[in-house]
Amino acid sequence: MPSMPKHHRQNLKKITGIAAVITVTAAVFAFLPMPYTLYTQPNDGLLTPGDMISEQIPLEQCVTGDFADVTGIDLLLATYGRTNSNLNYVEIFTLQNDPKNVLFKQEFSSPMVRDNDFFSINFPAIESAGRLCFFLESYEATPQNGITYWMNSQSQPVLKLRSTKPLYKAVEKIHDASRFDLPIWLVIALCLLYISATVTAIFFIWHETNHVPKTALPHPRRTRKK
Amino acid sequence: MSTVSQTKKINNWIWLIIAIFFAKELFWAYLTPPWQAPDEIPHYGYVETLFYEQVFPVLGKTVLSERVQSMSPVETAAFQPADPAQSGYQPSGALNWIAQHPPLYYLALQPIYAFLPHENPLTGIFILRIVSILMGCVTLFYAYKTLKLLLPENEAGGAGKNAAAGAVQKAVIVGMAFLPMFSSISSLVNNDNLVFMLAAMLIWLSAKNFDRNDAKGSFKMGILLGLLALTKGTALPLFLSIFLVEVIKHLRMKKSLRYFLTHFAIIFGTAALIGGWWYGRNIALYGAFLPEIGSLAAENPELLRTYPELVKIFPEAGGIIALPNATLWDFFITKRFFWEYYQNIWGAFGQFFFRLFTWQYFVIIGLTLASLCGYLKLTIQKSKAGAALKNHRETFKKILSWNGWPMLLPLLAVGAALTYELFNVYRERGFLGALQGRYLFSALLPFMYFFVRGLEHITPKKHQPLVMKLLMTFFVVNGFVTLMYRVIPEFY
Repeated sequence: MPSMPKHHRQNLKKITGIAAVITVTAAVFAFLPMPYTLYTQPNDGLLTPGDMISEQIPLEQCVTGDFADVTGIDLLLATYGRTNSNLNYVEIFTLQNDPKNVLFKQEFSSPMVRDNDFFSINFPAIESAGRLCFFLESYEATPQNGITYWMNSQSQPVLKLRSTKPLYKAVEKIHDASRFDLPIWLVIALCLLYISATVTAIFFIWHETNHVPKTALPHPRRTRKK
Repeated sequence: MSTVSQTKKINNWIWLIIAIFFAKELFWAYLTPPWQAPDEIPHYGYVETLFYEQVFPVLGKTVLSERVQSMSPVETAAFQPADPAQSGYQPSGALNWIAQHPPLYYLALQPIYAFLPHENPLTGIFILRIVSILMGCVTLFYAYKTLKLLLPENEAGGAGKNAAAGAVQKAVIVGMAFLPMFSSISSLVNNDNLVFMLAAMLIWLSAKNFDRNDAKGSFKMGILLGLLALTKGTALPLFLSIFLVEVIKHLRMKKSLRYFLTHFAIIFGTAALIGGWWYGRNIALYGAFLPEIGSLAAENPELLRTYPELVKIFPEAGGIIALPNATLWDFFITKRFFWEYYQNIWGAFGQFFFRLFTWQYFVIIGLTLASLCGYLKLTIQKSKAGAALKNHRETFKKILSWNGWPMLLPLLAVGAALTYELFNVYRERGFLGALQGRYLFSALLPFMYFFVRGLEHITPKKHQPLVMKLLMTFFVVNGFVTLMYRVIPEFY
């Protein structure tokens, strides 16, 4: 079987490369999970520290609203500028009907908490229709060993609800939230351009095998042994 | 084909990387909400002032327009002059807190600004961001040209002599193009972009002229230095680096002192003619060569009466988030993000390093210097003259003959200036928060160059191609992950 001419091989290579870039770009756009903020507790005014969290004074808060696919809560916690060693317990539950429906529970140790930073509690996606609540208590908390939280001017803990969506859905949300008034098709085009640029860069890095241009090689006829 | 023409030939891959950079920067520019960038409000206000007032702004007097303030999510009204009547503006006007910056960047934007819809600054800010992206593209192009000079792929004598040069060139350029801090700044309105661009051109020119007696080249360098001085005060350490490059050039070329002084006069005389007047104006207006908003506020609390309180409350944020009415919320959200991406040197390296803080600056400088020493040692050992290095004169000659000086000296000069500033602020205010990673980026190319070359030299030769590919992949993935999982969740 005669081998394919060189320029055909090169064309085929190019077409394969372009097809691969398009395929990977489409896959990333369709499936890449993107976290984004569903809800932020009102945070006007000066924030103040809450009480130290303990078994006697746990922190409990509910957020009302229809939230689809909540995958995490970020709580603004603080450590009093020290490293604490006690254990904490968190529970996520809904109050749609009267009995408490616990959806998720977890323990975490205080050394995991960073001072004045959001602490993320991640859980499987929850469809929240009505009230989504959390309960946080701290075992063996003492004035020398315990964590606290920041409150807004309405004395509510500062928190954010997060969700995770495929990139193509997150782009819609980005478009809605952006202050730049670009049409949605253009935002999608920019996103696709960005992904394809990244994919092309990776292909380019791994495709190149010979770093020396062929033109630089000495002509075989001129290479003579002395 | 002659060697010279091969050296001058521009490889296609640089156009590909520049195209990729441009495409990804457009998305960065869209994703970063307007004004959510270091001082983007006053930078835009500076352009407006020049256009409408046709005078250079004065720190402590020039205020932002109502239009810009109304578009800003930041409450700036309290940041106003002690005596608004003197400024000739409405009393509610907030001060432009970057009015001390030299004007070149804002002058360069005037022709574009003239065609923008002024009633809607959001469109204007997006278009001006695209101009920044183009400046980033030029920076990458000149970085590539410098690398071609220092690491020619086809040295005299044929192919294969420096086969790894192409890989190093690509790794450095890809590293620069995908560095999150560079990506971010390049997609925003900020005079740093012009500094990066002119600095890249200057380093290329000084490398090109390193072996030449070229009065024209010296004149061009003087022009670039003058333009840099007219762009931002953070570019001034490059004067020191060019001075040192010229001294080394003089020593290795063994020309007369008169000859050296002539070139020295051409470079620095031209630079002084172009940029000197601005610093004269500074002394006349503020009594300082480089006025700084914090020190002005400390000396004259009436002038900027909110600033000392701001610094007291947000010591690390300092002048970056000059929000007099900032809530603690602003502090936690904006400060942390800004700190990581625009101030902290490690923030430059993006998502995988963003937990690290200022003291690690010393670690990275130490590592870079260690890589550099290893690199120099290996280079000298490998050379044919290695055996003769016991002779001190030969050693000195060998060190002078190294073509990397135009790369090393800007890095050292900028690094030394930043370190000095770091300690200065620590002495005055008691914290290490003054180091802004982006200020190092006038020496970004040398920084990345020595980082990559250091890594290359500590890697066994047979593994070098793989390590370079892995390094480039890391840079690309790091840029992607940083945007997707750090920047987007921050704003959306």
